[in-house]
Amino acid sequence: MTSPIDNRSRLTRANTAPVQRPEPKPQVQRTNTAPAKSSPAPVKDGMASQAASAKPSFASSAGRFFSSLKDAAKNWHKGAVETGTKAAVASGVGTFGILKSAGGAVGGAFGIVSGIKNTIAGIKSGDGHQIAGGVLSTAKSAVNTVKGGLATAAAIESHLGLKSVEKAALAAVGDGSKLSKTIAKSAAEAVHLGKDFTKLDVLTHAAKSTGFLGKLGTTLKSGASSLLGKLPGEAAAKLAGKLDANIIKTGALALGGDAKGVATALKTAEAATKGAEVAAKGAGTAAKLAGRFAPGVNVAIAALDVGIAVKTITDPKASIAAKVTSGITALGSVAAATNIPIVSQVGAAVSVASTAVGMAIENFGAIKNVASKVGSAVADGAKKVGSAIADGAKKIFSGW
Amino acid sequence: MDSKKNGSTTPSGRKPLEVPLYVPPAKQAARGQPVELPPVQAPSLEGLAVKVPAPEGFTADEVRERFLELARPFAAERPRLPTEPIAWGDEVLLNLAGYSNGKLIPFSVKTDVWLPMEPEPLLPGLYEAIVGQVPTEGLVVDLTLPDTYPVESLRGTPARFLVHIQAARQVNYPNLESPEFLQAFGRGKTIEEATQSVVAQMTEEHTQLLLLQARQQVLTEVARRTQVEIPRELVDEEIRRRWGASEGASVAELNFSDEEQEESLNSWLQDEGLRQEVELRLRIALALGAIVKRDGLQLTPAHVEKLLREEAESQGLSPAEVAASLKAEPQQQALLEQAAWHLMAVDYVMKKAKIEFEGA
Repeated sequence: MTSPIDNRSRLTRANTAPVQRPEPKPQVQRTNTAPAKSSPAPVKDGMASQAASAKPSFASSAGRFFSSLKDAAKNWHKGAVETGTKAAVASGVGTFGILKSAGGAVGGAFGIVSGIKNTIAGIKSGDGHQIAGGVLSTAKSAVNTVKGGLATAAAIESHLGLKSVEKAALAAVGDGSKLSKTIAKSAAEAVHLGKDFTKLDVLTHAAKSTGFLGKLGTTLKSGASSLLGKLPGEAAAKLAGKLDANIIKTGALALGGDAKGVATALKTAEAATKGAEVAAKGAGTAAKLAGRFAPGVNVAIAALDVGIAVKTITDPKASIAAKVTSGITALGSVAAATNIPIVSQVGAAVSVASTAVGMAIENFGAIKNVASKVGSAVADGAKKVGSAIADGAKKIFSGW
Repeated sequence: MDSKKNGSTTPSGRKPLEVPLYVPPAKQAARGQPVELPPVQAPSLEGLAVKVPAPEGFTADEVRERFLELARPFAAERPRLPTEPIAWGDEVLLNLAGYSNGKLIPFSVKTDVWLPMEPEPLLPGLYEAIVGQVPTEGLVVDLTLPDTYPVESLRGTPARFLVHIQAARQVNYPNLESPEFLQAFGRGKTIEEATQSVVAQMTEEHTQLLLLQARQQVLTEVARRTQVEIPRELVDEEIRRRWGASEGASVAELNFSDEEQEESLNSWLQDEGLRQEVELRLRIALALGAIVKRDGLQLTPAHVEKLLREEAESQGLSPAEVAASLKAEPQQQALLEQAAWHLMAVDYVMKKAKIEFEGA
């Protein structure tokens, strides 16, 4: 935790910080030294020449840019680029810092204009940080159009053999009506037989699917709206209209994070490359954003908790305890609509672990060390309250 | 700015005694502050019955998507060099923030998120702007959200996105019909068999989804029967803590100013949909707590152990290391305990409910 002073200087906005920074930032000086690119080439050239004339010292940092580019290329596969750019961004005067000043000021100095206009305006007014911001481009400058994207995707599809998958899927699924019955029957049977209500292994796999998480969002949100329907008059009417039960969220994007290759109770994987068509999935327009970046669309708590868990589990600095707990918390959030523990407490008000948890940890830790004996006695005064443990018998603790 | 932070009431609600060390809003939110739980009477569980509507099922399209998701681990990834332009189908590591009319769009700040490059008609121009750039670019993308955008207040409005591309990778799927892939995939010798296997898995997953829906309906009914007044501050704190652990962490990482961090937090605090869902969960949790007391439920070590075992297996951790780590962190144990209590109480309630599945 930094001291107040340090914090403040880091938070200094881009427009007061010096333009030329000691550490090289590849993205800042790209315009001068990058190889010619097909898409925004004309604009960039214009910028480069204007930039060069507006800021003589700009050119001298080209050398620094080259060395940083080389470093970046060298360390690319070690992920050092990520760190490097992150550091630049984190300084607040890096790309993101400058971009931020553009982002927040819509309607003010910049209005709703293209990024290029911003830059040119900046150059004209001698606003240094605008120029040093380097490449600010707009959607218009991109050569690739939606059509281009679809063509590429179609090409991928035919190469992959996806057509065969589609055919087989249609054969298996038909019009879907049989499926509905199968699923309902299966659920009814599970309840009837008193099976474990939530099958963790199935949920684990399902949570890797953005489609599933999307539907999960809808499912768990519908509870809130149905409750509202039963609340007295005004409150319900006011809020029912605002709840869109079709809003779909995703866990993977609740926080971001690369969950590939990580095992957890509930984890999400990045969405796979989809086919060419972004066809309606039958649950409204919000469904189309399932698994994708969806600004403004509020996040389902369950999906959010899954995202937080993913972040913890993939964090190399997080302790094993934190990882395990966040996975279980996420499970609770999905399967039992839990709240953040300690905010609302289901059990008796405790801030330290009860003996039940303490014993469980001891028992669990003893597995594989002692021949399948659950409940071997362990001396740990702080955790032991209550009677002795019986072999293989469930332990009910008194004192609760 | 000083006076704002040293005041007795701040937007983040810090107490005057905490003043000496400056704490930015995101960190403060993540720490949390003590709350007072309202009194609550346990609801009756008599006649608890729900009817779960017939499930939607899934389409062939969804099967194909799921197939690709399951095949993703078998795709080859190649990081793009800093000079290589990004192509459609790539996955790109991004920092993102969205603005509308100069204000942060809620739920739009993401750090370190991998997004696949596919056209998205609901965000026209966003991905188009990224494709063709090289990694480590920073962009500002202006676009107009279409009339079909899921959020009503944003329809037809201009939005500005700050995008920082940190890295990109090319994703190459194998030919899904090739024997090598099918063998590695392990779901059958032909693509038809593999698809059948995926359908079977999806059926199980949707069954789970239906069961979750049943639980949700039961818990909602329990909440409805519960007399309790949920104070606004309780909902605020719940949202604040979640924000602190998610978007709050992102805006702090991106070095947003204090005002901007508060703006992000407030956009969450003011989202009605989010408040509703949080309030429902609080109701449920408080109701369960009261039920636990009234009916004398006990948490057993076996119950906790089962959770630990399943989670450890799922994460590939050994019991010994899990136990050792938990022993050293009483805070985590407390969280674990709360989760365990809650899950146990829900199981108890579910056993008392009569559940009917439409279409079964």
